[in-house]
Amino acid sequence: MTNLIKRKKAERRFQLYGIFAVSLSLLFVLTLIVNIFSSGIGGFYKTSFLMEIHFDQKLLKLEDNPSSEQIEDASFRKLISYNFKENFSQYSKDEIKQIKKLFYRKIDKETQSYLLKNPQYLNQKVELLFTASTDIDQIHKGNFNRNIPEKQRSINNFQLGIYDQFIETGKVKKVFNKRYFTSGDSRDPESAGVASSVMGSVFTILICFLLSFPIAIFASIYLEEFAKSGKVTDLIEININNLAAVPSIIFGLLGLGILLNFFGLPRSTSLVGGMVLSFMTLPTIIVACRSSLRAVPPSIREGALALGATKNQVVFHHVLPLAMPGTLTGTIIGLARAVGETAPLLMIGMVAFIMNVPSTPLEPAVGMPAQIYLWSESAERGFIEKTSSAIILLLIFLIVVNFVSVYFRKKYEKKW
Amino acid sequence: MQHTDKNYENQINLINENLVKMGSILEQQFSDALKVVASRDQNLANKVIEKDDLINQLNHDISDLVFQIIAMRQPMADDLRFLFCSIKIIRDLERIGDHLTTVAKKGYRVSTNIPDQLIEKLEVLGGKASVMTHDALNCLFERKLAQADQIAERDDIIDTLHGNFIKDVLSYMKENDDFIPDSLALIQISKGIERIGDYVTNIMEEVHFLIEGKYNNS
Amino acid sequence: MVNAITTENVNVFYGDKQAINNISLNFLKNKVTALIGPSGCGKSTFLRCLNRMNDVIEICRVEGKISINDQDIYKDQIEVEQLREKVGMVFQKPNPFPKSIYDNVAYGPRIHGFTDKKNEMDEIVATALKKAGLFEEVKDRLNDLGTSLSGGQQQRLCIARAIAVKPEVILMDEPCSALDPIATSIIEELITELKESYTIIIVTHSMQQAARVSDKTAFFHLGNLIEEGDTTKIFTKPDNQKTNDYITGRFG
Repeated sequence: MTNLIKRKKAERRFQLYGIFAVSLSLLFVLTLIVNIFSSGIGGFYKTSFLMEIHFDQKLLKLEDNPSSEQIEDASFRKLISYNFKENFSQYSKDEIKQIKKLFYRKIDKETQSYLLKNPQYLNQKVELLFTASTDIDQIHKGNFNRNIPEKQRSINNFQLGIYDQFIETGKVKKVFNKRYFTSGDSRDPESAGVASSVMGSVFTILICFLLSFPIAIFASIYLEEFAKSGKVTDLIEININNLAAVPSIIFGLLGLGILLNFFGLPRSTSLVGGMVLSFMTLPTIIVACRSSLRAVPPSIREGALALGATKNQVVFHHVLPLAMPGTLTGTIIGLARAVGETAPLLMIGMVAFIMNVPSTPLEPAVGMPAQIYLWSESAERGFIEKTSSAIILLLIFLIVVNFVSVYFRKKYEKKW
Repeated sequence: MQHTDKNYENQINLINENLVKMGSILEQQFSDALKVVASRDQNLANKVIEKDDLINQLNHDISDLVFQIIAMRQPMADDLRFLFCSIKIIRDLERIGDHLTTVAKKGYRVSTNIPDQLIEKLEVLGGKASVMTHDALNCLFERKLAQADQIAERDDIIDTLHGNFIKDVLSYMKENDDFIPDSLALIQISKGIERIGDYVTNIMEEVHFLIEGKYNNS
Repeated sequence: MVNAITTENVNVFYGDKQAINNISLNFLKNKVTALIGPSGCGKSTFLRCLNRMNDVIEICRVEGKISINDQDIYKDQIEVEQLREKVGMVFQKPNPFPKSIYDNVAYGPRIHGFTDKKNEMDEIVATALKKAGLFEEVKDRLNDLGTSLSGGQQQRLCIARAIAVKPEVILMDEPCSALDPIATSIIEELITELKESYTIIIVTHSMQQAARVSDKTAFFHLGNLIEEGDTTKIFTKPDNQKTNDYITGRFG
């Protein structure tokens, strides 16, 4: 009896340990998520100022009804200077210069793109939104304490005064940062975006999938269903299992040595990145696929064989479809790991500063993790937020991928 | 070889034991009944008659057991043949018991004035039938095919002896009118013994089936 | 009496171990032959020689002659797929494919290219299901998964699947061992019906089942054929003492 009480106590104690362990890990995850989200969610928004712009035809040296090319060629510097003088006529030249610093450095380009989209603005006075400089953006989002001594901050008291005035007159707006999703990397936090790295990742993963999935499936089927068991098969099996445990940077070195130096494939491209990652993903998929194939009950194989099906028919009509959910899950998990991989990509130069959004896998690209790494290295305060935002995107991507894998498994899982 | 299932083995053995018991009681009854004929001992006769209940009881016990085994065990091959034979043999044994009761009942009432000659002839007939029954029971428990067929043939001798005895009794009756009831009793006794011979023959046929899986058609 | 399958001096080895010792056994056409014997006696191994299912096992080697219609099935003139078209098989555990009931039955005819026409295939499927006594139960849900049926129905589906390829011989490897008594009786009745059109060879652990369904019974022990003959004879008066001891439950 006492023995039973003891055993029951041990059971309760074990449960408590378990609950503690689970809570601890949940706490870690929660901290990570809260931390990343609180510092990154702002990155999807930007602070903008409303300002009236008079698109003076003479200052732009444009004819009536100018073509797009003409607008693109026109210089907007003078127009901006003029408008600042007009809007802030009560301030001195020096003060206007400081006010101008509240805006994004490339305000002329922004004005130009407004006119490109709306040629009817010519010779009109329009109130438009202009991106604030990253410093004022950070102050507005509260990421930066404005009460520290003036000398220690890049925004002086006068500029803060103007900013407060803007707030009072309702000229400060917080808008969705579309550019973050459409543009590539930039030296300015205001215009830096994830598009190039997202496309880089997409191309890389696509290449990785197209290479590793069919190869892995054929390799697994051959090894599992056709290969005669023997020393050679055992050796291959051991090597595949070992391959799954090789540090990823080794695959990067392999890519550097063979793909770039020996075959001379273009550096920094998603093509090479995808190939390197597929080296890494292959063993994962093969292991998943083989175990799924092995999990298909022999009775199904026998049933088909007994009807006079050839081995090939047995595999492709019955075994493979049943092994597919498991294989797909393995594949998606392998790919999700590959998406988050940085080390092998470093070795093949996929950490470059890429401004252009790549449109083919043969263009230089950068992956999201590498982009995150690059931004986290940058000095500007604005990039901290961008880094966190990119991490959020990456996390969302991984979560989606995991849900997709669960969905596929549930949908195609069949009972026998 | 024994059955893997000990309970089954025990059940089959129990049937066999009961058969042996039935056989030994019958043999005892047989010799007692013959003694009754010779000595006209009423107590002995009552003993024989009382034992018939035991035979009936054993008959029912064995039937129940066989019935149970068939329902629960689905017996096959030699087990099946044994059970099948048992059920038929106990019926014959029970009938033999009935005839022995008749022998005892009639036996002690036969007048002592009947000539010893006749009684002796009856004793010879009874002795033959008794030995035949004894041999038959041994044959049943030892499962000897050759013996079974040979024992069955001995029934002819009993029939002949019975026929002769009837003739003798009839000629005796013609001369001694006063002893007609006693003579009829003698005939009944002889008839009973003759019937026992028939039952023993039946049992031997069952033993033949038990061993061979088919009846002896020759 | 015509033999559907004749076997002469069949020996089967698993590596160095001999599983079947010199068995010669013939199977009568349109009769049910039961193979009985204790576990590991080689009855399943022998059964699987008849449609060469043992080929799958790498270390398995079959010697001797097994002929169907005077054709040696282990000679090269006959492809194993052709053989299995003639010799169907039903397994111990019902193993319908995780596909629709229709596709389960149509699979065999499809791979053997019986027909391309939808209505002809429907006919083949319906006939096979009817023969297996399953049509009435499933005719309204032919698109349901075969695995959604009950155990007994699944086994009848497997029988329909085997029948659909129009075999001459159907091998059954303990077809009722996973079924309840009612489902078992249905299958047993079906076996009796099916022997009109097919030769059936059934391996079973249930002596009663062998006694109920088969015309001929062969008793295997330690890879040897101990005795074969009419089922009534084997179960009432077997010639061999070993057979008697086995069927009365004295060993095995």
